[in-house]
Amino acid sequence: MLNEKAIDHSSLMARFDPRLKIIGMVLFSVLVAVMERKAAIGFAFLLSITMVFLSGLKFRDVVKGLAPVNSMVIFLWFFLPLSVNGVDIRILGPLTASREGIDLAVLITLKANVMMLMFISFAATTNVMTAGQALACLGLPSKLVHLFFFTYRYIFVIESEFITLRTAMAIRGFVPRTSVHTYRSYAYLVGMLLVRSWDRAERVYRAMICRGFNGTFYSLSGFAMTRKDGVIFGVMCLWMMVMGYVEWVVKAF
Amino acid sequence: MDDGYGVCGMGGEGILIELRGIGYTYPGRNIPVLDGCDFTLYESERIGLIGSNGSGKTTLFHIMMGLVKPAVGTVEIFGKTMKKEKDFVKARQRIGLLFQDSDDQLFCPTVLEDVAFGPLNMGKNLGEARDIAIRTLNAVGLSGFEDRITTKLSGGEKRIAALAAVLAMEPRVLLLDEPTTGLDEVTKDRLIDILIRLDKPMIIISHEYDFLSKTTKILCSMKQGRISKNGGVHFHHHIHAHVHGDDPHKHE
Ligand SMILES: Nc1ncnc2c1ncn2[C@@H]1O[C@H](COP(=O)(O)OP(=O)(O)OP(=O)(O)O)[C@@H](O)[C@H]1O
Ligand SMILES: [Mg+2]
Repeated sequence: MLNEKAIDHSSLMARFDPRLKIIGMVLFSVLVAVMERKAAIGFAFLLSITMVFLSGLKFRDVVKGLAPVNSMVIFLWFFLPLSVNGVDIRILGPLTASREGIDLAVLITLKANVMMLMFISFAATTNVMTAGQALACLGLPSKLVHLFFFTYRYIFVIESEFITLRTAMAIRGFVPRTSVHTYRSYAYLVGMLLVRSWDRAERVYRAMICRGFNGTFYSLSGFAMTRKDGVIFGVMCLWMMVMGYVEWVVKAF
Repeated sequence: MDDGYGVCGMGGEGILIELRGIGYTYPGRNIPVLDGCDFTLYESERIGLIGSNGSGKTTLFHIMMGLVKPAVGTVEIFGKTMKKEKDFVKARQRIGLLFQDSDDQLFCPTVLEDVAFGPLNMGKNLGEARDIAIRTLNAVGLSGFEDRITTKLSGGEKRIAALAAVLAMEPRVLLLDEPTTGLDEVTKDRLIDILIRLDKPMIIISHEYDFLSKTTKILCSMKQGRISKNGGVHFHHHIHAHVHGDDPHKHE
């Protein structure tokens, strides 16, 4: 689902019921979002890394998946230690950073990565059709399901239209400068992007109704809850209780 | 062929698609694309449609499928006059339209899902849809492409995959909009082979006489918003159209 790779259906996570997968992921994300103790986040990490393991992902793909989140987090490392008030630590000459700021940056980094790992294991093992169908099964209104599906679908359409247009400009020797010509060309680019994406979206929709689309998505993988799904989900829930226990009862670290 | 549609009997020949006096102008343009256009597709007819760029061939297909609503004129499919969107919804399941641009047609992540999309919409269960999709892919020579990503196929592969997606619905009539664009000679020959073996009525838009002469029996051309059947058939066609106009008849 992340980069439109075909899904390896043999992994345990790929065969895990998508509805339970979604519920588990949402519960997990909410829990991690409110947790503040590193020990508890450590336990969360164990769960999410296990899920990634069960997804049969390559190490390289996991790193690739984590890259965008960490490129955002890196900015926090510039700002938080300098802007949060607290005990100062000298780092370089007159430059000081606050201990609280660093702590906060560490916490956010950990949380973001733990959540992202869980999301990667979900996204890499569920295709959009299945995800859409599972969301519909969970009672999400069909309008929202369609919005989800088409947003996903057309992001790629818009991107490819953008690349086509940019190439069309480049092969005719367009070099951006600070000139009216440049601004006008960019305005055309954005305008054309909108118009073309709109047209393309309409044509794709027409093609869909020609093939009998009536508003319902069917997924080829289909799903039926089995004992195995219940067991995996049960283990996830148990482990989340452990996380909560460490966070709110033991209150370690 | 009992699918709930009455077939209009006409000298022993059924009429599948009939357009009468179709006129259409795209919004914002002042010259009509179609202007008083008549056209009939009979059972077991294979028609090749030629015409210069922008003469309105694609528009004609879209009108037959109810994607574009003509300003004047009537569309009759399998003997039923198409009035509302609801009429077309049913008709579309029996007419397979191959779009001029395959990128418009393929939208599922993988080839198998895309080919199975139509059968699933038609109420087939997962196992059946999967079987149909795999069988159709084999038939068009795309076995092994099941898990390929649709956006990452070559132009020709997309074309054949889109054709498989149309054929998987087992339509009664095929409308192919320039099926040969982007195909090499070998693939083109394979396509000709597939189409000849299909034994279905069809209309093929193409700019290649050679291809049309191998796959179709009748040649029509589009000019100034109208269609004319070439050769003697041309005359014959108009007599039919005339008879229909004077003698309204019942279907079913
Ligand atoms: N969405 C649209 N809005 C306005 N005009 C359009 C639109 N689509 C097509 N046209 C115009 O209608 C005319 C007929 O277009 P159409 O696509 O039916 O031609 P065609 O015969 O299929 O051509 P080609 O052989 O190039 O595919 C053209 O002049 C075209 O510019
Ligand atoms: Mg065309």
